[in-house]
Amino acid sequence: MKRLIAMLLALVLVLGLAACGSTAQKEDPAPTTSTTETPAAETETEAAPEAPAEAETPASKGTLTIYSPQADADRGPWIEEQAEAALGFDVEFLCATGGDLAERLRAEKNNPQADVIMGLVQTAMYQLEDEGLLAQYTPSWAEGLPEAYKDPNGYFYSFWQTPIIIGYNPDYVTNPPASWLDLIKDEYAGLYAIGKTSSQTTRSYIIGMLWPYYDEATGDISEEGWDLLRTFYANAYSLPTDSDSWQLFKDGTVPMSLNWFGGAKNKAAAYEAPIAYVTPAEGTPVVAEGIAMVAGTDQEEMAQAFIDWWGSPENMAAYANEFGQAPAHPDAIALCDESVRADAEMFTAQLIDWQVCSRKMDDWFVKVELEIMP
Amino acid sequence: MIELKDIVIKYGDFTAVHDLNIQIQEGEFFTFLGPSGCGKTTTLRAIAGFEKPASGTITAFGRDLSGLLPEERGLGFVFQNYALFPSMNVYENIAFGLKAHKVPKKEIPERVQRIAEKTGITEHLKKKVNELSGGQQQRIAIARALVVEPKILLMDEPLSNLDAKLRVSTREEIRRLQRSLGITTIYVTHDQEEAMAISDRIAVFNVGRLEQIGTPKEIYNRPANAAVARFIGDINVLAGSMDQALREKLTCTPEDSFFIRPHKVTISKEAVSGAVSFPAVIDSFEFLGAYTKIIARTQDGAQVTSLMFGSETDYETGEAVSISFRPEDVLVLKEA
Amino acid sequence: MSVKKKLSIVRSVLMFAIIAWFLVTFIIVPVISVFRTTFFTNGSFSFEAIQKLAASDRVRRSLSNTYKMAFWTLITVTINGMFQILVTEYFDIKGSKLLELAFMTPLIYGGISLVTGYNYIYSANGYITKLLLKVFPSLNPNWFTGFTGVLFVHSFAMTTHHILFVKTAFRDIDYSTIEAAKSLGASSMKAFFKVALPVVKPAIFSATILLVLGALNSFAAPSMLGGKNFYMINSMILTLNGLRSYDLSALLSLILAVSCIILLLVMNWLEKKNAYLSVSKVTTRLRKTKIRNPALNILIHALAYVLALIYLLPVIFIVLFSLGDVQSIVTNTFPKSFSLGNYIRVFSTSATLKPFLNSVKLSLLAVLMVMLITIPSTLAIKKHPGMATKILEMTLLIPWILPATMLVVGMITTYSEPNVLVFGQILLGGFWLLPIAYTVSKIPSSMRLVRASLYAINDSHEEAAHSLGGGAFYTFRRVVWPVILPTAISVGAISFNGLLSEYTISALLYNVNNIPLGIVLRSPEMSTDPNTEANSLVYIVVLMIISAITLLATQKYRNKE
Repeated sequence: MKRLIAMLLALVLVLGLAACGSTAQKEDPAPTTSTTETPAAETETEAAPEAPAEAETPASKGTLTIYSPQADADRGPWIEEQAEAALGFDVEFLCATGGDLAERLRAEKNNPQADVIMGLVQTAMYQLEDEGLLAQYTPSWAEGLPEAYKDPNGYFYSFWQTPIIIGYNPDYVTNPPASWLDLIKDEYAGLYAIGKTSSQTTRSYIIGMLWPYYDEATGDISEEGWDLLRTFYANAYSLPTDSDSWQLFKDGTVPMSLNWFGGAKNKAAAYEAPIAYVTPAEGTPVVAEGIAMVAGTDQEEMAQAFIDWWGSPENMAAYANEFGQAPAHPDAIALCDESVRADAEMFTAQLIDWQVCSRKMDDWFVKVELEIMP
Repeated sequence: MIELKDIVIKYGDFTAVHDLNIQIQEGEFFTFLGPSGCGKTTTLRAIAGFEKPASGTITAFGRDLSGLLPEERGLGFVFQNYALFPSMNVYENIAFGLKAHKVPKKEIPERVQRIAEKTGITEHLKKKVNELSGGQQQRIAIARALVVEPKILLMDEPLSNLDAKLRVSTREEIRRLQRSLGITTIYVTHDQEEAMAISDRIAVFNVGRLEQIGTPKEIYNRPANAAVARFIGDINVLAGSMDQALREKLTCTPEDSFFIRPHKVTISKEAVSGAVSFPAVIDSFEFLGAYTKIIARTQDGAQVTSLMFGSETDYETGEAVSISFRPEDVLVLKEA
Repeated sequence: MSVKKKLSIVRSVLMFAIIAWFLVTFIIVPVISVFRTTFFTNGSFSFEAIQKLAASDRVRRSLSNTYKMAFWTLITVTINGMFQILVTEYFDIKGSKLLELAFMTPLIYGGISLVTGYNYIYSANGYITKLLLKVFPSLNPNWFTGFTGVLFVHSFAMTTHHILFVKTAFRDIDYSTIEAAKSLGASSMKAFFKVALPVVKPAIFSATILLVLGALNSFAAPSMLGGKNFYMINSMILTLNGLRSYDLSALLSLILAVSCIILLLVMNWLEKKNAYLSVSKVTTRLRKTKIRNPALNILIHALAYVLALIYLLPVIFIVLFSLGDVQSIVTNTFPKSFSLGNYIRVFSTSATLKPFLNSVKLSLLAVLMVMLITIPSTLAIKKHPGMATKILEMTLLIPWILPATMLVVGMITTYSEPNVLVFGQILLGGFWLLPIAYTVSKIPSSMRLVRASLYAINDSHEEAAHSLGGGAFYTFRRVVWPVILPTAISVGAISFNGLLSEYTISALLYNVNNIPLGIVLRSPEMSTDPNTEANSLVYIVVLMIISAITLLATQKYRNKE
């Protein structure tokens, strides 16, 4: 009996190793999928992920599966209701952070579950595009969309914009910085906190600060840029956790918040804290969320119908008025309420080549993690 | 001298020991004897300080022990299961008490060595305790208790975990050691033979009460009551017609019963002159070498056991015989 | 061979074939796969990763932080653990049952939910810190951050698990040895430290291994409380993984794994050196000692109650605040009125309710699979020592020394495409990979404990059952099963509770059909919806209730241990 078990174990082991070897050979180098530990990532999209009620057969006929960080408990039901009313077919959402959804798409490359990916920022969309996970489609609303919100290769189009801003508590900051680069000054030491590099927001403003030091000749950031970032980190407040930050903002301990605009605005309101914004002359990084069809979808027509409907100025304006988000399309902005319009026009976008960044940023942030951070 | 005065020990509502008064002399080997649950171990543990009496005082050599913690009483205690420290070797076990008593470091090896020689465990000092036999562990437990030179040694059934042969030789050794050290010893056992063999005096306990204190001889020959008589050695209850006959012959009260030790009973074919005799038949007959054990039954069914030394007579079961004994050998005792 | 015997062999072979398949498929192959993709990304072995890491001060600091934290956790947890055993098991302390309950609270909420709870009241804005600041104005309001914050959480949360099994060993101590020590002149304290503690040293050793492994692999506390200047190696691994630097993260996990292996070897060696058996055949039950010195008595009572308060306050405040209005929760001011509003909101929406059901289902499945694997394996390891069972044992212990993230990454890379081992299925994106990963993560600790209980079975009992004509299965059912059942149920309950709010594995593997609680719990951190903070308090309270019910339901089995 003992010998039998031994032989059996050995046999399975050999078989296992053989199987492992063969799969490893088949594997192409790209789709190594892994963790994005993005707990507090996706600031703009964060919320309790919602499991669609009956999602057992995501690809069954007549149902469109959409991966989106926006479809949380607040916004998901609204979007679903509007979409089904306008399009006449069922849509289902999987809501998670942008990083998780991107990982999921990569992992499911050979067995796509999603038909549409919606609401990831440019860098993430460019990465998905580079990995062949997106399918080309030009939506009906592409016309009139500023170039900054279009993928030159035609894989994805952005539908709204989120400025990444410096918000400050005017009760405590009387002499606010004029730009992001001012933050390294001594007078702002300890007044701001830097989020985790896994967060989309953090990544965006760090890229925004590094971009002026991008050297096209070397294809990399100059040493000066890295030194600047080092000071930026050294100057920051040691914030243990994200959940306290708004209390600290209110009581003046950390009276500046590096955040996405809508998040800062809502949180300040929830904590009844006064807030004002820095509007740098050279612009502030503006993140734009895009929508695209997933490569290999079996619901192409429905996916295209959804994309056309979603980005249409009418729907965007309705959504913006409901949730206070600023659309990317000028026609949509024009249809919005006064307050949304004012918000949408408050900031100028910093010019950043997001496609270049999307290819470089993993390396940059490894460098940040290993060499720059204190 | 150790004195227990009016000791009462309670566990909640249950009284384990009632109103106990005992005086133990210096150098004495004193035994608490009784069946299990009689309160003997509880009393011993109260002396050691492990139990707190509900009332009464315990004094030892003029010192009132009542308010003292076990570690302040300076008594040696040998446990039934030896309670050796499994994490230490033999040497460390023995040295433990010396260290606890802050004996100067230099003196410790010498004192351990000395007690080891006395108890005959020198060769085991380096061993782990689980490498030793029960008898060896027992000696270590004694050595450990004695090394701190307590004035009083308390032993709680120290032989009960040993086999019969070892029990006899070890108890002799304990006695020898006690004599040579002259240490006042209180010993708890449920084995009356062991108690008789080893003790200067015995206190017999029964269900939480002290029945009798005396030398082994006194307790055997003049038990204070029926319970003691029954517990110490074998004894016959003389019932039925024998009881009736004796009630007329001997001075007694109606509550008294009559007892006789088996070796005081003679079984013979004819009645013996000068003794009381009763006709009986043989129930069983066992020849055991030095003596013969005979059980006979009177006509009204009362059984009597006899031990006869050097008797050459053989009996058949059912054979008619006479049971004879001398009236002065009969013990007239009250049931407790 | 009789038909019956043949049948029993076929049954065993089948069972072990399935176990072997499971272990190869979900432990060995994923591990190999990770290292393959790590060191052979471009087809050849490269040292680039090592050079990159060696050049980084931050990596060095994270390593030194990790070792430092493990060391200090060991010290504080040992002190705390000794103290807890003293006041709940050894000394006669008034209300020791209540103290024990307080000390056990980390059993009902772990990881993310515990850190969230502690942070909620001990952080700079926490209710307790605010109170303390009124009494001690010089206190640093940020005391609950960085090294001190993490160590604080470790010291309290980890102690409970640490002493759980030390305590059962302690209860088996022969009380007469303590009395013997006292009769030899040792004080109560001395008897505790010199006689009682050395006897439970083996139990302390095994618990210490688990403790230090836990501290080395700590994730929730450092990532939530560490701040800018304190980070540990596991957070680095996850961050680098998130940046898709698989070579660096795998190398770091390798360093972590090597640290763990060295630790295990050292501990095993120490354990062997200190092995001894209890000599007493008959043991007396432990009785509690009164502290005679009144000053010491008051001091120890006071310390014990302060300690209990530290454990209880987070629980009490989370429950209270979860009943409060959203505004009080957000601003951390004591609620003026209490209602079940937050609970009704959470439970009336299927979206917020479903994760509970998912987590319960997933955890139950995982615990079941753990038992189906560990119990037969442990039996085989005990009964048939040899090469095969040695390999089996080693394989079962792999998830202990390799970070869970690494195994999961391996599973993802292996099963994101059809694989022979799983009959050509693509597991990723399906339901099963998550409970399987849960299972793998809980195998080693369960095995260790089941094995410990198994070694308590006297071989002669088994032989007796055999000689009386009992078949292998019969013997198992009547002799072996009753002995391991209490441990199995107890270990199962604790694993179940741990998995309910699991985050690290879940984050990598959940999907549409099985979103677990840990994910939901962690995500609302920066949501714009003020309700989310209230929701997460509700989640934590309900988690505590579920876990408490599980523990209570399995109580009688644990008492048998």
